[in-house]
Amino acid sequence: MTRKRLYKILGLFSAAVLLALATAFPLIRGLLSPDSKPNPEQNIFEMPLCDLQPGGLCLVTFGAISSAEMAIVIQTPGEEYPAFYLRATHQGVENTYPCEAGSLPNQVICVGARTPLGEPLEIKVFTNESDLLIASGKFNVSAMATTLLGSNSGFSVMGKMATPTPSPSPSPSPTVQVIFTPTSAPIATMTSTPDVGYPNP
Amino acid sequence: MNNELPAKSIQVLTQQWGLILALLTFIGWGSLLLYAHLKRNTGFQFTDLELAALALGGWPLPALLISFPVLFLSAFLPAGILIGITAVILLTSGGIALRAIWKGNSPWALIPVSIFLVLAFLRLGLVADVIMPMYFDSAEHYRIIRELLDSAWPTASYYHLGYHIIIAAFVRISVADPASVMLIFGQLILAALPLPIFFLLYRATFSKSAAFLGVIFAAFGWFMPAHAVNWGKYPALLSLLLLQFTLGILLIKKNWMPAVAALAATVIHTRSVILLALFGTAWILANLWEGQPHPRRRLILAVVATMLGMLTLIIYRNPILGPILEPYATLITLLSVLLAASVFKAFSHPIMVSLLIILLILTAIFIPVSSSLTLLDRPLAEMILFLPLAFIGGLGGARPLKFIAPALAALIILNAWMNISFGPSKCCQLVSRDDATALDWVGRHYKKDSVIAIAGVNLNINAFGRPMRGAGIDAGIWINPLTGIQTIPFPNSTNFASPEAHDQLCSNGITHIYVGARPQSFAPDFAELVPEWYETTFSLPKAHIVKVLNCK
Repeated sequence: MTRKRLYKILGLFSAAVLLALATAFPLIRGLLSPDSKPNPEQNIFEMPLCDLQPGGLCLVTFGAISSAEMAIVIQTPGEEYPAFYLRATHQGVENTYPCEAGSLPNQVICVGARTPLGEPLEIKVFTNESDLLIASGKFNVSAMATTLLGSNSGFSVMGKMATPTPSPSPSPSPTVQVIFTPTSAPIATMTSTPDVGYPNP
Repeated sequence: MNNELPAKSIQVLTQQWGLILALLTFIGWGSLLLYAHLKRNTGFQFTDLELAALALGGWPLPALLISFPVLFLSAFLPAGILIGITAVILLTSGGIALRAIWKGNSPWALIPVSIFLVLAFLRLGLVADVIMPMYFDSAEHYRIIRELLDSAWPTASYYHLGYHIIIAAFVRISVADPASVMLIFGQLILAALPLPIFFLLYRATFSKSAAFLGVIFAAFGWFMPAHAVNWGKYPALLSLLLLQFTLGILLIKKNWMPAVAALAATVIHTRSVILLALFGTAWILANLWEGQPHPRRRLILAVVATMLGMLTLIIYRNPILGPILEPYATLITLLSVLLAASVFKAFSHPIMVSLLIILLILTAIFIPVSSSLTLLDRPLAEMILFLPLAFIGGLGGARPLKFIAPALAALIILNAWMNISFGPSKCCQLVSRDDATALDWVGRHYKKDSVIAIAGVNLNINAFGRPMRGAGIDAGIWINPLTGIQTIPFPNSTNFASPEAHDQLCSNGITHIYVGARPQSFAPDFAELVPEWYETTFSLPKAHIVKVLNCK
C-alpha cells in the first residue's frame, strides 16, 4: 500500500471518529456533568422521574402489591450505588420502604404503605449504612395501576433492608411440556385464523 | 431515524465495556486462528484482505470447538481453574497463530477488521433499549443455555445445540449474565455477517470495488438480516456466518475444512444442511446451464426468470408467506437487479447461481417434510434472501467506471440511515421494565411449586401444516427460564370470568396468572369482575400478577 493511500485511509477513519464524537458530545457532556441540579439549600440530589430524565437515580413507577402496600421502583445510576431504603411522607405521615435489588441491572423495588392515587408523596432516600440522606423528590402517585385489589394476599412487608445484589441463578425445573389444548367446552373465543408469527417492523 | 444511535452505542459501550471486550477477544482469537491457518496453507494465491474478510466469517468454528471441552470441564473444575486453563489455551494458540503470520502482512488485512468494528459500534446501539433478548425464541434459547449451565451435559433438548454451547461456555469463562451475552453476542454476529461476502465477490470479479459494494449491500441494503435479532434468531444468524465461510473455503478447495465448517454450521443451526444443499444444487444447475448453447441458455434463463416471477406472485398473495418479500420490496433490490443485469455478460455464471439460489429458497418453503414442517420456514427464507441479492448487486461494482461503486455505497448507506431503524422493533419486545420487575418479584417471592398461566397464541410460520401452538406473546414466556416456575399457556382471549375458565385453571393446578401489557396479553380487568376467584397480588402499570382463589 502506498503512503498516500495509507494517509487517505487514516484521514477518513479520523473523520469518522470525529463525527461520532461530535454526535455523541451531548451524551458525553451529560455523563460528565452532575446528574441533576442539586438542591441549593441542602445540597441533596433531587431525584427526578425516569421518564423525564433517564440515567442516574430516578423514579421509574409506582405499583400495587396489595390493598395496603405499594411498590416504588427506583432506577440507580449503577451497580456500585450504595444500598438504600426510602422514607416517604404523605400528609404528614412518614412510612419506611425497605428496598431490594432486582435482577435487572440498576433497578430497585421498595415496598411499603400504600398512598392513594393522585396524592403527593415526598420521598427521601437513605443509605442502609449510617442512614445518610442522599436524595429526595416530590411526586404525585399518578402512574399506579388502577386494578382493584382484594383482601391482603398474605405477602408480608420485607423486613430486611437488602443490599442491592444480583438475584441468585434459579435452578431450573425439568423442561415442561406446555399444554395448549382447547377444552371441549370452549373457554376462549379463538380467532378464526392464527396470527402470522415473526412480524416485520 | 437513527440520529440517537451513536449516543446509544456509546452508552452501551460505557455500561458493558468488559463484556464487549471479552467477546471481541473471543471473536478476534477465532478469526486470528483461521486467518493464520489460511495464510500459511494457501501461499500467495489469495490476498491478505480477502483472507481476513473470510476469517471474520469463520470464527464460530474455533469458538464451537473450544466451547465443547470448556463446558464439559466446567462440570468438574472450579471456575477459577477453568478460566485459567481457557486463558492459557487462547493465549498459546493465539500466540502461535500471531507468530506464524507476524511478517509479510499487508495493511489491507486491517480493513475488514476496521469495517467489523465500525459495524459493531453501530449495531451495539440496539442493546441500549432492550431489557431482555426479544421474542419467544430468545426465552427458549435462554432456557437451554441455563440447562447446559446447570447440568453441563447432556441436555434434554437438542434444539440448535451449537449456539447454546458457545454461549454457555462463554458464560462459564466470563461469569457474565446469559441474557446480556445473548444480546451483545447477537449484535457482534450481525456486525461480522456482511464481511465474508467480500471474499466470494472478490473471487468472482477480482475487483475490490465490487467486493466492498457487496459488503455495503449486505450490511445496509435491507432490514434483513438485522431484524432477525428482534425475532431472537441467534442460531440462524450465527450459522449464516459459518455458511458463507463454508462457501469460501470450498473455493479455496481445502480438503477437510469445508466438511468441518459445514458440520459446525449444522450443529449451530440444523437447517444449515438444507441451505448448503440448495447452494450446491444451484451451483450444479448453473454449471449445466453454462455448458448449453447460447439459444438454449437464453431460453433457460427466461424460464428461471418466469418461475421466479410466478413464485414471487404466489408468495405475495399468501398471507402467511407474504412477509418474506417485505424487506426486499424496495428500490435497493431494484438497484441490485439492475446492477446485475448491467454486468450479466461478464458474470453470467455467478448471477445464474444467485438466481437459482433465490428460486430454490422460495421453492423450499413449499416443500413439506412433516405434517408441520417445510424444508425452510418463512423466517429463515426471509432472513437469507439478502445474501444472493447482495452478491448480485456487488457484481455491478466491477464496472469500468470505478467511481460508481463508492457513489452507490454512499446511496445505500444513506437510504439505510433514513429508512431502516437500527434500534429494536416494538413488534417483538416482550419484556418491559415493569415486566422485568414483576419477573424478579416472582422469582424471589413465589414458591417453586407455583404454576402460572401465561398468554399464548397460535402462530402460522409455514406454508402448510398446523400452526405453532401456544407461543408466548408477552413477558410470561420468561417466567420458567428465569425462575424455574412452571408455566402453562392459555389462549390469550380466555374469558377468565367464566366458570369453565376457572375450573380449567384449578384442574391444571394453576396458582397465578401473569398479565402483561402487550396487545395480545390477557385483559387486565378480570380480577375486578370476579373477586371471589381472583386477587391481584402484584401490580405495576404494565405488569400484573393475579392469584387464583377458591379452587375446590
